[in-house]
Amino acid sequence: MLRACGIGLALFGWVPLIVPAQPTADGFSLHGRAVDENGRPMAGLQITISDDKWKAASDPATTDPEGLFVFNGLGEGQYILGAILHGGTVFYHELPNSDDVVTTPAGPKQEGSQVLFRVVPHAVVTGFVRDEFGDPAAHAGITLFQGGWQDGRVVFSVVQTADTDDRGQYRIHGLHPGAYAVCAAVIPNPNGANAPGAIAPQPGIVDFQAHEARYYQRSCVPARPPAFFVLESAQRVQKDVVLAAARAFSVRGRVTNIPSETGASVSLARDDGLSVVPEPRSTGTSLARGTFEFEGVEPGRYRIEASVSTATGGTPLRWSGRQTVQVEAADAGEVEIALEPPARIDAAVHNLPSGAPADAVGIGLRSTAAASWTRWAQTAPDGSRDFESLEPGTYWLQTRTNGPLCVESVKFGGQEVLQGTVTLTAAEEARLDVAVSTQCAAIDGTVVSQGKPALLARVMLLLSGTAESPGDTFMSISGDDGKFSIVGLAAGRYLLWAWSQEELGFTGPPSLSELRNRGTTVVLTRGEHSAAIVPLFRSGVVQ
Amino acid sequence: MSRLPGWIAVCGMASALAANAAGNITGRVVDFLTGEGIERARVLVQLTPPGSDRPVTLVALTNSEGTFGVRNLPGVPCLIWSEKTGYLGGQNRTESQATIPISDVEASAPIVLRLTPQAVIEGSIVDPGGTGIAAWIKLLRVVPDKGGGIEFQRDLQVDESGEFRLAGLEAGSYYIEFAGPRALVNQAKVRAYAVRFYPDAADLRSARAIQAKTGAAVQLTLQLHVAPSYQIRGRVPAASQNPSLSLRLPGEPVAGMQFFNAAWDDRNRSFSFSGVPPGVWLLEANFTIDGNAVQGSRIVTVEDADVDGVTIEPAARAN
Repeated sequence: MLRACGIGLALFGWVPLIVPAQPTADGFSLHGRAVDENGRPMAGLQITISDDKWKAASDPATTDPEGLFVFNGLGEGQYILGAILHGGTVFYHELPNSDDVVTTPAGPKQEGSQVLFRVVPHAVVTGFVRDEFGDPAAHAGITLFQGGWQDGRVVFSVVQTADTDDRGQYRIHGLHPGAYAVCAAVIPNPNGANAPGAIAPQPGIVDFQAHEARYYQRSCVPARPPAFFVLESAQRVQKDVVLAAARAFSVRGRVTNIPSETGASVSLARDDGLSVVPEPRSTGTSLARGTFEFEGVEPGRYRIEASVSTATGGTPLRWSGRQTVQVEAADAGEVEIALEPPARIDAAVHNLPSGAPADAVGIGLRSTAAASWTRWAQTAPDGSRDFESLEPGTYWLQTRTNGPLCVESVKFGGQEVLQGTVTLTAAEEARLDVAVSTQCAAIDGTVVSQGKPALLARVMLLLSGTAESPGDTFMSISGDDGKFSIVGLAAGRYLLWAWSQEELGFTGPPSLSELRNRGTTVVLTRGEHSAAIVPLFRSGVVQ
Repeated sequence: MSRLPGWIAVCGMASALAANAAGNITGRVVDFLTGEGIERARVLVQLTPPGSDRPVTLVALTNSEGTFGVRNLPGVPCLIWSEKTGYLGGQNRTESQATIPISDVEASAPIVLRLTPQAVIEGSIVDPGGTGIAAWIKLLRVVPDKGGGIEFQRDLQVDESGEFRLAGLEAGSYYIEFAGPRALVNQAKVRAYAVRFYPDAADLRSARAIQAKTGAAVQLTLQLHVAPSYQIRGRVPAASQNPSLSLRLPGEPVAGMQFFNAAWDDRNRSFSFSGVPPGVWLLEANFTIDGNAVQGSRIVTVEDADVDGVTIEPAARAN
């Protein structure tokens, strides 16, 4: 079973005894004191409590004039505390750059102790968006995003979006401490690429014959990468944005090898890792003859993807194709994208113990292309697994298990690919043979910083690939003693890194390759636990 | 300078013109109330060039006098309109747009496009202690054309600052309905706030209309009242599929967001609304039975306790 302790809900300790022990006849009690950011008691505050499945464990408690609250009749376990502040919820010990919350234990060891709950308002980012003339850009789209680790690389994910009002002002609230970046763009017009709102005006007399279309660019383009800033608890930061206008071009082309009469769907997205930010004018056209055209495309590198779904024998199949286009100082015409039929993989799991649930083994594929997500095999009621409509290409193999299982071998075309890749050609029908075992290895590790245990550290295990080209990775988090445990592993050689989860800036290195010589190597033997001491890496804000 | 009538439907009149005929447009964008020129207003000219099937939009900018010019246009009809932040102009208002044949404009007088200043309703929502609080707002408008009927305009989620701004409004009479933050579905007994209508009415009949005037902003403070928090729990018919449940005050416009979240238990076909203050509520459900869309509703009165065992039976087919 590949799993870790403390994912999503971090375990945390409690402060020494302050109030007398008050065990109740039918459960344990959890005492606490709510204070504001200056340590002053907060009276009349509602405190909620949920179990670690987010189910309410009791009715909310209300703090007394000293900020004290208590929940009685609790079972032994971990609980999530929240405070209702100005209509929003502030959770106990929110972690920077994360939606994870820290749980609070209740049980015999905690009877009589008191949790100190610092109820700090969430941070706010506000600002104005203006055009090149200094006028407010009303109804511009704002994207607030963060960098984070996924699949062994830093990806940018949208935290919140907002629109500017008629004054060009925006406000994004409810933010945890961390490192953020703001990107502004004129919102795409659903009616087409030629969205008037995105067209920059021209002062003076406009000449139709000499006219060159200028469009407002989004504020974070490759030439002006987003500037990350650190937001502390309760902080209000103003980030104003000026939208620049620039000459824009068109991208035209056609889709070939369309398997049906249905027009293909064509999308255009930036190939710069910031595709999470809405494209101002990425509303492509899919014409009956298979041609497409995008207007108002500013210089940059783009990924054009085309697909069409067709039903063969009642089974929907997705034909697809993609092309990368560099737009510089001219229109890009005659881009041709040939659709290819999808591949299919049937997967068989061997040595599965009788009675093992259907979700005991998960098999995933992630394209080796830069921006891609993992697809997991579908499991039928009879236990068979398959991947349908896979785009031709090369994929990293990923496996996950539940229960006392680990994946020891995966064969693809007779070759071992457990820690490697599989390559699929158009219309290929392939097979994966997955062998599981109960003789699994495990890592019992400790994250240390300056010789001391490092609590709440993010731990990354590299299961396949290299630091320069990560394949399958697994993330865990250390507990309040710096310890972590990852089980359900096959025998082999692995690399581990750990970095702080409590830094305000972006947590982690910019890439694993930066730490390729600083990983902790652990060699696992079948059926045995191995210890690992992993030094903590500290980092700053991604620039 | 003569004023062009608001809407001139002449599209197609110029189709017989020479494709290479050129035309110029000059004009001025003025404030509808004062008649003064508006600086840096956007003027959009949209036309479909000869031989093309796609429209092209040019965007000019007015100078300090509010004037603009576009030249060398092909001889085809064009639509022209103006817009400026803080005004109600745009393509869909007669006083700020026009459709013209280019062949005529060489000899015609400059165009005048008039922008109407917007009305604004803004202010803050506060808790009983006067502190800003997250909330929901529904803006309702009295529609003179419909005999004074009231229709939903828009809704707004207000963040923890409590500050809100409803801009881009036509002058007229409005009502505001407001409610506190939605209760978390997993926390049934979190403090609730009564749903109110401006200024502090329990229903729309007792509410006071807000008069929004052209070019002016109305400032409001809306105060929420803490109310006991209860649950409404019940079931829908066992054969129903895809149920959609809503809880609102009777007489409240149907459109807009829900003030209450429904938790749904598919296995037991049961639902629960949390954080419901005392009052008389209209519980409505839309679902399908045997592929047919069905509606059901009932009045639920919440007094001083949770209401359990509410059942919703199909009342009428929705289609």
